[in-house]
Amino acid sequence: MSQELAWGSLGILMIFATIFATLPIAGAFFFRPRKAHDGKESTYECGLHPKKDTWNQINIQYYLFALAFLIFSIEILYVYPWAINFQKLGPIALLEMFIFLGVLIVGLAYAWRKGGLEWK
Amino acid sequence: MKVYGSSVLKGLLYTLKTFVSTYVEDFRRKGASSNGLLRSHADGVVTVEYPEKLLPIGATYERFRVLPMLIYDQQESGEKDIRCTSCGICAKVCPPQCIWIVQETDENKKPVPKPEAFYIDTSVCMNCGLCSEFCPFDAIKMDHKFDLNTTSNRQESYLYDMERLLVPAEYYAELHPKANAAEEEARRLEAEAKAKKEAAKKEAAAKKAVEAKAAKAAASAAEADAPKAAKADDPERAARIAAAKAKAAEAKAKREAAKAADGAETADAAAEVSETSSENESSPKASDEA
Amino acid sequence: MEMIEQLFVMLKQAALALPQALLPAELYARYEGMLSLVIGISAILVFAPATMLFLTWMERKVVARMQKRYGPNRVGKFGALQPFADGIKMFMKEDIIPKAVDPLLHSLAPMVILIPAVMIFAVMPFGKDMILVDLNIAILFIMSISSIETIAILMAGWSSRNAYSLISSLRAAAQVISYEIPLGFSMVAVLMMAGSMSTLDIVLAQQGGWFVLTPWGFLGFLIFFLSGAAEVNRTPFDVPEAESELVAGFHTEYSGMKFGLFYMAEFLGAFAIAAFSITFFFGGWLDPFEPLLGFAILPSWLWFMLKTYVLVFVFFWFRGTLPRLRVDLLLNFAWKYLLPMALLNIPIAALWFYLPAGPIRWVAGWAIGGSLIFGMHQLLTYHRVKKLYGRYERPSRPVVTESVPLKS
Repeated sequence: MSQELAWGSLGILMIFATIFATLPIAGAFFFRPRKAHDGKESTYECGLHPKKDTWNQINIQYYLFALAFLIFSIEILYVYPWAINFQKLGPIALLEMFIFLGVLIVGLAYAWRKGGLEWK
Repeated sequence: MKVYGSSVLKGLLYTLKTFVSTYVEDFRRKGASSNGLLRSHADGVVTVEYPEKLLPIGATYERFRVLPMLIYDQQESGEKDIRCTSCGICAKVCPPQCIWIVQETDENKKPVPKPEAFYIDTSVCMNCGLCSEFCPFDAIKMDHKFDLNTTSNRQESYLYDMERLLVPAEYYAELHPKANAAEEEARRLEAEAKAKKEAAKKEAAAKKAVEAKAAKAAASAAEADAPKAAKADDPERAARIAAAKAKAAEAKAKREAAKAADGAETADAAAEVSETSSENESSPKASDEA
Repeated sequence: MEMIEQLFVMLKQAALALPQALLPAELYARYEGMLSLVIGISAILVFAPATMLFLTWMERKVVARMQKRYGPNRVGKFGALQPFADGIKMFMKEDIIPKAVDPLLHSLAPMVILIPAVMIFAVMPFGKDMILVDLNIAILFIMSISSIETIAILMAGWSSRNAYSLISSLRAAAQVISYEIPLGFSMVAVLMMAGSMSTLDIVLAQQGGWFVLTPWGFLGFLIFFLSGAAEVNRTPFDVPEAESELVAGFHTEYSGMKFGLFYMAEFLGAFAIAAFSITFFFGGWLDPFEPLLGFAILPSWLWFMLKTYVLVFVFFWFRGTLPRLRVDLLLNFAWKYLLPMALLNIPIAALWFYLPAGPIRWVAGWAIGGSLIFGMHQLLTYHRVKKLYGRYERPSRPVVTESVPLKS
């Protein structure tokens, strides 16, 4: 199977999956009751009225983790091509990869030491 | 060396063992009718599929409690000797106030320690068991019968009258073997102590009478002695001796009497101690702790 | 045997026979590929909800047994019809859209979460000749498509305009991105040995022996499986859906079929993680006894399902055993335990490759690799445990003097 065909097939699968995901909701449209009232349609807060809007500022901590994630997921993208060709490239490339990973580990150690991975 | 994370594996093994053992136990129980005993928590599924299968009364734990019941002792003549004296303590302690007692009166309108009517509104009863804990006569106890569904006449069927509440003492003994044994032991001890106390009192009284007699005799003897001695010897000395003799006799009598009284008292104390201890034993909370 | 082995392939051929008979030969030749693709897709779209229905029932049964209960047993024999009853219930339920929500995002989120959950099945080798799309970068595809789940969760949480949903979705995002790193690194060793990103090639590379039997495969499997469990929010990593803290998490404001789609996506995700663990580390659809006996005992697709369901059972086993991790411990586990372990896995795999083949490799590889893994484990956990418990004395257990006596 050629790769163009494979990706085309995935596109078709995506269309089918979208239909698959829409169908139950659309199908239920004809069966489900519709009895709206204010109490039912208010935001759920265990019986209390919400005091503040939740579309609000959020903790910076999430941003730190997102940054760390970004760094490491890009590293993964660099490691994968090497990993596939590891058997062909030989020990020199392995050594180079160790240096690369070493830099990565130093970064991880730095973040660890600085408390960047600590959830407060 | 401590391997961290090994307790996670231990926990996983435990649940796996439980998972497998329930199926093994299911297989083992297949032939036997499972409509029997309360399964122990050791292995197997503990669920009893209620509407289809029912635990027989008495299969549950001893301290299991649902509704109160009144206990009577079957007399040899066939009469029911209801333990309740209609003192009303249970009605007073009942938190939702669901007990209603009418005391029996004799022909002279004098109250008799017996209930004429005893009602429990079971739709109000909250199964707390306080009535049984407070009852000083072991007359009201908690029943095990839990399948109380009725299909007709809901209002009236929830109001239990004395007829429905009365159970023989043997039934109670079967459901609560441990508590019953403790109570019987306590009652026996109490009776014994009472008998002892009576006996001691009687003895003490008898002794007192004897000693009083002896003291009297001694005193009269001393009096009788005194002129004799006076006659024979130094009159002053003889009078002294007589007085001392009388005193000694009196002291002796007193000591004896005190001894007897003391014995009675210790017996009393023993009875009290046994009472309190038996109360402790029979109360569910204490056995809970045990 | 051959017939059972090729059962589904033959079914496809049979389904193709009808258009072949009806259409002109030229037209049929042109659209044959398309038709067979549609049949394959239909098979997946039937398989996915069926799996979800079965998994819901299985989870309830397994967890119930672990807690000495029967689980569902009212609807049908052994409660087997329970998932259908639940499905009908969800189908008939009112779809409540609270007034405060962003209606577009709110309605889109369940679809967005379900589409990748279904699409991931495209690269799953269910058996010999039973893969929809043999993609040459299947692993990248899996990783990328599974991260779309995060977007859907954020959509659901943000659009619900509900405190629980928002907190849950943010936690879910932090968790999923954190665990994606060890997930990605755990597959590096597999790629090094298989030399390909295609799931089919990875399975075929294990004909000499399952990867999980090697030290790097073993460690890689553990990391992959645990990170995968976190990825799809399974217990003990179900902080985003912590029902005791966050009601229902990001799907608090969802009801009816939309909630059902979230539910389905979750179970499909769990199944996919189990299935890919099998593919990467347990030889996929390979029969473990075939090299010994010379013939296959069971058809390949049955082997695949059997192995996958063992791992799915492990998911449920975790759920029945382990309590939920606190959110900071959860993130620590990803960054301070799984990630260093995953990085350690790369040199172990390289070492394995450069050891001479044969028994020496097995002995020396396991000796060095195993001691490295164990040492690293002790180092990392010791650090954590000391930090956790160093500050205060651990409370001693209450003394239990006597067990409660039972009556028969």
